[in-house]
Amino acid sequence: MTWTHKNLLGLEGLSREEITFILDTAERFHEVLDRPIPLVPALRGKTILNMFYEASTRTATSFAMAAKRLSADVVGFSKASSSVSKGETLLDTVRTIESMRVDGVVIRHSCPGAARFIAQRIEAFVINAGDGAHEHPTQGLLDLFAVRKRLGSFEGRHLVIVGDITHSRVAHSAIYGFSTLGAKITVCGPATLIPPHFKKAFPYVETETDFDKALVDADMIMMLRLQLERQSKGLFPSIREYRKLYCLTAERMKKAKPDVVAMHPGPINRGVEIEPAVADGPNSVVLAQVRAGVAVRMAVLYILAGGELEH
Amino acid sequence: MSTRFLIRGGYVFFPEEEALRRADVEIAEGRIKRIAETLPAEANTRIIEAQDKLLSPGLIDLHAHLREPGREDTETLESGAWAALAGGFTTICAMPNTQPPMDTREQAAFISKRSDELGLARILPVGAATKGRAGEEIAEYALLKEAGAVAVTDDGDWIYSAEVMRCALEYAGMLGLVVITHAEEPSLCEEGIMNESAVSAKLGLKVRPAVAEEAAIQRDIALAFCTGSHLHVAHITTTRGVELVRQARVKGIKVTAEATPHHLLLTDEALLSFDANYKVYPPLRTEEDRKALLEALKDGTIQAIATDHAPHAIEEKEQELDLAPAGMIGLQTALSVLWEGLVEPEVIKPELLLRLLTTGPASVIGESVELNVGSPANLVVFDPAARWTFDAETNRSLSWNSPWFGKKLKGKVEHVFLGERHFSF
Repeated sequence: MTWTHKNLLGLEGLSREEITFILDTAERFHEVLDRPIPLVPALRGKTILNMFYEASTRTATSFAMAAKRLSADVVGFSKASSSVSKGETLLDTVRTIESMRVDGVVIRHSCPGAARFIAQRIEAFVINAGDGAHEHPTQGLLDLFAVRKRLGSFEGRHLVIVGDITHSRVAHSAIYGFSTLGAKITVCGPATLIPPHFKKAFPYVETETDFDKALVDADMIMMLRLQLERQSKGLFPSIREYRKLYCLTAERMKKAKPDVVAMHPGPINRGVEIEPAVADGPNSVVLAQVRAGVAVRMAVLYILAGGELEH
Repeated sequence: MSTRFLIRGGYVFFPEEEALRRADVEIAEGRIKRIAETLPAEANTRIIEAQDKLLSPGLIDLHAHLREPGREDTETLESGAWAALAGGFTTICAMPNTQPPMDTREQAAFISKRSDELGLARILPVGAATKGRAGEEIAEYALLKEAGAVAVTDDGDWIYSAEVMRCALEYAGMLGLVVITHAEEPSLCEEGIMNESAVSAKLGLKVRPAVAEEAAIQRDIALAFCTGSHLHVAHITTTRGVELVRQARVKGIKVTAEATPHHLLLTDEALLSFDANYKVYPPLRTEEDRKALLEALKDGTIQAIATDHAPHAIEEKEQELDLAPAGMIGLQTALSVLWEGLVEPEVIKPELLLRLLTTGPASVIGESVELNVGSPANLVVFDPAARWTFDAETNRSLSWNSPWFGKKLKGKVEHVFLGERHFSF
């Protein structure tokens, strides 16, 4: 298959073949990670810039590690250490990068569309590492990767995404990715955290506010991280009530299918979204997701950099 | 002695009858000298052939942000007045959210005086409804009116306190001034930048929902009813919003409303491009809302089309969508895009469009529009078939934040007659 996209800004619009191609490529890199020296020379001489405008430990680390495992040079900044705090605009930052000649840019930003904003203005390829509540495509890919290892395929499988749907880029990318590969999807959360026009935006996705109803039929359960500050905005009344309605507890797991796959993008608010016994239990793929993250990001970097080389 | 003009063969919009009729119009000494089916050309007369073109009284815009004083890098009274003329507007209302806000007689007098000096499109000041636009104490309406203010508003913000809004309506009503409301209940719009819809659900952008407009209009109508004063709803956008205005008008409450060209022509789907030129407050709504606005134009619920011309510097606009300021410019393009988008496809009749841009807005601020023998020349010649590109060369504004910038447009203002002055574009 020939890869035709310059950037990875989202999973929306990617075909089944394209997503499968990334996952298959990631499969090869996943094996690399098991080697005594987990390093390949694929991106030697290339420079990847990590721009993290929003606090992130795992995604930033995962991208840096992926680039290093491919022998790329990695430079980067996070908001606190950069001139962003001196009030430089994104446009000026973009111009600066362009004049430094990097091959690829990984950007995390709190504003939806920020990755696209940069991609439209530079020659280097751009990977969206999360833009506000819009998309987080490599998260979606690593979720697919981790689940595929467990279940083999997605056709006819049922994914239930639970939590703050409104503010979740993870949910958006999962919806595009899992549905493209044939899964049925239900989103579940309090009415205040599901957008009112959700059904119009995603007619093929079911909505359900009752977690106990939604989970019975699930093959995969994706628990979203709850931003605790949403409570002060009145979107839910208290942690204890949220936990009662939406925490994936051992008790709830008894109602689910025995081989259901439990996911969480991390970092986990333990005991809020998911009970430790479940997060660390046999149904959980939480750590597999982290490991998949490096492999998937290696694959994306490799494919996008390779696409560059071809023309 | 000024030139005589004979505008020949055009379709003339007669505002009183609201009719378009082919006629020749002669202008001399800054006034309309003769109107007849055919007029002979006299000596020393400049003839303007207007076959298949339109001749209308100068357009009136109820809603323009001219940025002077404070942001003269983005627009001045002069550049704004030129953009207006090039778009066929001979009267424009300057919104008071300048820096500092236009809340005193002296500031309004500055606008009126500058307008006279310029001799371009006439600029009518709109005073701030509250001191400093802070929403706390009403401004000096009588003094503002004395200096030329035709209305008061805190446009850009809704007056949050119902008590202050009630006072504003009572006091303005006493003076015969209209209070213009920017109807968006802010607690429902916190950090919001686009309509709440299927599009926002996909893009993850924060929202300014339709219910924010409905809630604001509902309260303001209640206050207009209890005070008996004239309320004007600026840039109305929602299905339920126009329904509230419609019902209020049926009950005899003095409520008028305006809609912008962009809300009449575009929907929130435009934001799928993440282009900040489509970020406006109130936000672009759904196709259903757009259709409801068109219905409201037709049944008279909305009296005026107003541009909400809002210039912004390129470095401010070319940012992340969340950070870019809201608003687009519109004075120079309004007539072209409305004609091409609504009249040509026969969505609305040309007579209605012209009413919404002349007598409609005039009625909101108590102005009159005439096109009779003896009236001062205040005329626009518009060629609906002419093609032009709205670009750096043709743009008269100091800013270019418009989704139509760089685009080929159909329909162009070719001449404006304003008293003894004649402008051709």
